[in-house]
Amino acid sequence: MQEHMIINVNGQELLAKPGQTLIQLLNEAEVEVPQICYHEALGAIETCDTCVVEVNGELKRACGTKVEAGMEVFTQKELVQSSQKEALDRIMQKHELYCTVCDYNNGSCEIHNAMADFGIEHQSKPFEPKPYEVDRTGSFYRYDPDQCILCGRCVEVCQDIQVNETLTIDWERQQPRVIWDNDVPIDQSSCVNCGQCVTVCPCNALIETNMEGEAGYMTDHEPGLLRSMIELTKKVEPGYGPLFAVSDTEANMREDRIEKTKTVCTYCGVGCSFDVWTKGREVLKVEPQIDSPANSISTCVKGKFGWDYVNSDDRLTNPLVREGDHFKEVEWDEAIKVVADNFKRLKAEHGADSMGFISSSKATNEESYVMQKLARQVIGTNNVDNCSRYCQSPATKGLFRTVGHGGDAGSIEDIAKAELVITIGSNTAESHPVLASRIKRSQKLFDQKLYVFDLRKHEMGKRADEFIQPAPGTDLVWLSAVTKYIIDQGWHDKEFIDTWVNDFEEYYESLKPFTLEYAEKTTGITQEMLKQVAKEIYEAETTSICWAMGVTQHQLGSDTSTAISNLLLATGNYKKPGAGAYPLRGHNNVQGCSDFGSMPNFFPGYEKTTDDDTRQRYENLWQVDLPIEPGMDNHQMIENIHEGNLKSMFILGEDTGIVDANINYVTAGFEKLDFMVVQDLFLTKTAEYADVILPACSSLEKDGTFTNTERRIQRIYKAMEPLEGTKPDWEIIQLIAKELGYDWGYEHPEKIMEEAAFLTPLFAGVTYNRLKGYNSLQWPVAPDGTDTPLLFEDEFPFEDGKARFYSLSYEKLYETNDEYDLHVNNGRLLEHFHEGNMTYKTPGIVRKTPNAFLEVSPELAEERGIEEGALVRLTSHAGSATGEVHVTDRVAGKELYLPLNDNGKSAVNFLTDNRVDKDSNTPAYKEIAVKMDVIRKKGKSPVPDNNHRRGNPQPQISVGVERKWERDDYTFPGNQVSRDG
Amino acid sequence: MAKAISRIKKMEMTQEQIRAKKVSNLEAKMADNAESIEKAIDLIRTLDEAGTLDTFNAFVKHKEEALGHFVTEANKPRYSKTFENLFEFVFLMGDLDVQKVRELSKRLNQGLEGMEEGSESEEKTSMMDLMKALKDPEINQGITMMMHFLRGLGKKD
Repeated sequence: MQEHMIINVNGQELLAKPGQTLIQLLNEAEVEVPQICYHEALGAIETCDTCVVEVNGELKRACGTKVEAGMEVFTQKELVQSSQKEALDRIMQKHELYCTVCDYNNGSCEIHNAMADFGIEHQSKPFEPKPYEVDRTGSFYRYDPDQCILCGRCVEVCQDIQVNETLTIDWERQQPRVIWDNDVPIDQSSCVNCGQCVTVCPCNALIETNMEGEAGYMTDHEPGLLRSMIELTKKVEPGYGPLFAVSDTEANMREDRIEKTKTVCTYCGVGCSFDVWTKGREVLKVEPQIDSPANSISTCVKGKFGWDYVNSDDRLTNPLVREGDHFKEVEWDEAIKVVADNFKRLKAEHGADSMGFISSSKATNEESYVMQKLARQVIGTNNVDNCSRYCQSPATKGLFRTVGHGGDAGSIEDIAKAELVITIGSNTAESHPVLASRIKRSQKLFDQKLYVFDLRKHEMGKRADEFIQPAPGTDLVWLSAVTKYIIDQGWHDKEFIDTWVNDFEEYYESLKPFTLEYAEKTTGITQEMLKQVAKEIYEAETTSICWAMGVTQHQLGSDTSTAISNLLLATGNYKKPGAGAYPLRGHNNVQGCSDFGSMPNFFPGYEKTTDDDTRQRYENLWQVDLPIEPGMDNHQMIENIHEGNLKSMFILGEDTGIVDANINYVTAGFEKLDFMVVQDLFLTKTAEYADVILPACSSLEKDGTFTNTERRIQRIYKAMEPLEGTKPDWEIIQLIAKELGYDWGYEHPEKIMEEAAFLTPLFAGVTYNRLKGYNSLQWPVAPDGTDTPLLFEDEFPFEDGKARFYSLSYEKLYETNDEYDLHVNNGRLLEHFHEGNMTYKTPGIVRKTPNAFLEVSPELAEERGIEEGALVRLTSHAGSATGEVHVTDRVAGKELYLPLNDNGKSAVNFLTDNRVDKDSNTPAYKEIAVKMDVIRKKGKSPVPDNNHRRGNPQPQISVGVERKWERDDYTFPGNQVSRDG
Repeated sequence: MAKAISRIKKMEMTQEQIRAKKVSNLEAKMADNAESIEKAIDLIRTLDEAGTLDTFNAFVKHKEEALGHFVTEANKPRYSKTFENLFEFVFLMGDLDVQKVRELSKRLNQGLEGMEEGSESEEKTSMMDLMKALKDPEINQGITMMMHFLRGLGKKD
């Protein structure tokens, strides 16, 4: 039970929580106090001095004061008011008020609102221009020092929330200002364009360039005219209260043409939600909200600025049907008929199991549901799968074996509060940037320990307390060795194991081979380090382990994921906040696409197709007999094309011909298909093989839900109508089903969710009403709507309620050799997504990162006599790819790194082969041995000068307000008014 | 055996077909919003009859120049006093007692009327006439009012 204390505010007693700041208490109790630099998500910055109140007879900043029992506070006294007014006046000295012609005048300008609320009648200190130019060098936002009030929110968010550490305020110069790195233009800095500084800026000092001249009714004028209008506005708006009415009216008028729609980002599994501001089809800006459950005010560059693809000229706007050597545009009716006729024909000629269906991890839950319904009910096959096969199925498998639910054990919040975070094979800062920031923040400010196991010393590796490089594909060994050592030492959580885990003895026995000596020999990690890791886990109250494709995309992907879960079980790191297993899902709906049944062996909610009761439930509602035996997964589908068993494929929103491993083999398969349908926004490489291409629409153009890595189901709302000629995936699938004689009659995705929730115990309580706005639900969801932020709190989902250890063995399956002597690792770049169909359509991204590049270690470059910008050909025994070289110490020795975000000659999947995880058929993308031929010895660097990787971050904690206070020209307003009295 | 292809043969629509499609879309929208559209037509006719439509049209076409002229002009120093006064006036309006002003202006008008009537006679007013005039209740009332006004004017806050 938390103790409360009593604080006296203006003669009234208020209940405060320990550790609360005074401003939090006042805001909760709705006692009005002006505040500009204070932001709930950022905490106290203490730069603006506007929240000064009287505390026990002394004037103090409410944001910087912790509550204490018996405190006596006054907010209305004359001295308090004049101190606040002095602070507000000082802000007006730095900020020119021209609201009506300002693009930030959208009702949320915090300076405008603070002045209006306080009732400032006129400016007692005239505005003083600062001697700096506006910085417009960046891709996405601009900085106007003249409008900047130096509140430091941008610095706080950059240093301590995003933790990119680019922004600081130079307090020592005559006129302080915000600077990027060591005072370079925005474009030349280490700024990653996450846009959070712009999001938290209380005024128009930092603003999205897309907003400029677009938001206001009177802001889109030539610079000269705009300047004159500013002058005029200043004359007629000199801070007089009544005249705020003019700008307020204009702000209200803007609401008429600017729509603000809640949506969820589609660029990774973190599931950031935000309002997207649109004017017609134009995206003006993206504004994350403090209530956004996964991300609060955070975003990365893709979510904040990467929406140009929605209005790209390359969008398909008519269905296409293959006709000889070209595609012919046709009307929808005709295209749907071609699809239905061919499906009927193939089913009649070769049977339902000659057809394969692939759902998209970028599409909604409802769309995954109708895709599997199409396959199972309408066609009658279990040949339905999704792209999580390419990435995350092994993690799911490992968790099913041990703890019973294939999802993150807790929430991002739990990762943030863990005492120890271990990441394995996860390039977190580039693949899950917003989640990485939570770890970076906890490590920087709250003493969280971070251990990073990876081949590549990426940003997390550089920040880690320990960065450890195991030999490729050997994670299972060190994990098992550390677990064994922990048990040998008696450091395991015996009570937890006794109560909650089966098969301990058998498992301990299976660990016998995993001695420290063996692990050292196999992984290259020293015994001392292995002991240190064990000790850290033992000593930490809570350990969270995050892993990603570096674990899963191996032949032992499922086993290694299992080893992680075993380690967590042995140390009691489940069932409590701050602990657990976190397989970081790569795409926005990797989790949901599998959850909602696009899997060959599962109905929605991971209920087996072979389970009679479950099948019965579906058969009753769908009124057909359903196939029992599991169907083919993605990988088997391709194999079966080559073997002549699979005749048709329907691929929704996946560029399989680029993202599947060994693409030469995959595309050769496509060529053999009798009939192929692709549903996508663009004419992708995969679509080029199709017989019918159906133009789908983007996430901004439809309703539905996504499920993020935390198992969190979130609603997306339609922000604009589908581009003419395109349709949402669920509508298209429904049209096909109807043409095939099944009239589902869903008018809205909500109806689909109702059906799925009715059929699936895991989602029983999911309703659109409960998901309204920023509300979300983490499955399992009970019928009454109770959700489960932390899994296993009651028990593990097995019959006896207990988890189980799963015994493993290890056999080295992959190695480089004399001919193929280099190992290619691959993964993401922060600023691009997947094969790049979307992010390469954003010019602001492309000008900074025009293409993927091959990272080569300095040692290897020297050995092969190549330099930055060299052109090389990599050849594996499956194929070859060429790429331009970037020499960097992020990779070491004979490791190469080729980002997967390219669909040209550098596509990494020319190199990958057919080897897969033995338990889940996930391609072993990370196991490529290649040889390297030099085509050109050096050249222009593939990483442009304005790429953030070339910047010089300036780490510090917070904004350094003490340096402001130390200035000769600074007096605390409270002292000044007391003195002026 | 389907090779990768990327050439697209656009749906060939003649100009007439495109036109017809647009017209039919428009028709549908008009039918759905018949009432509003009729009102809009009314509004446009009214504006046109009043000649406002032409002016408005011209103004919108030259919006950028017009605004430029206005803003440049308004920014000249000689107007800054105007703007200041404008706002002073706004506040002045707030302080005025409109009821009293109305009464005063009525009387002022009466006075003006009287003045007009009187100015037609050529006679001069002697001291005696003034004294006599004070006995006239209307003149007396007028003088008394003036005296009270002067007192009020001289009073400090």
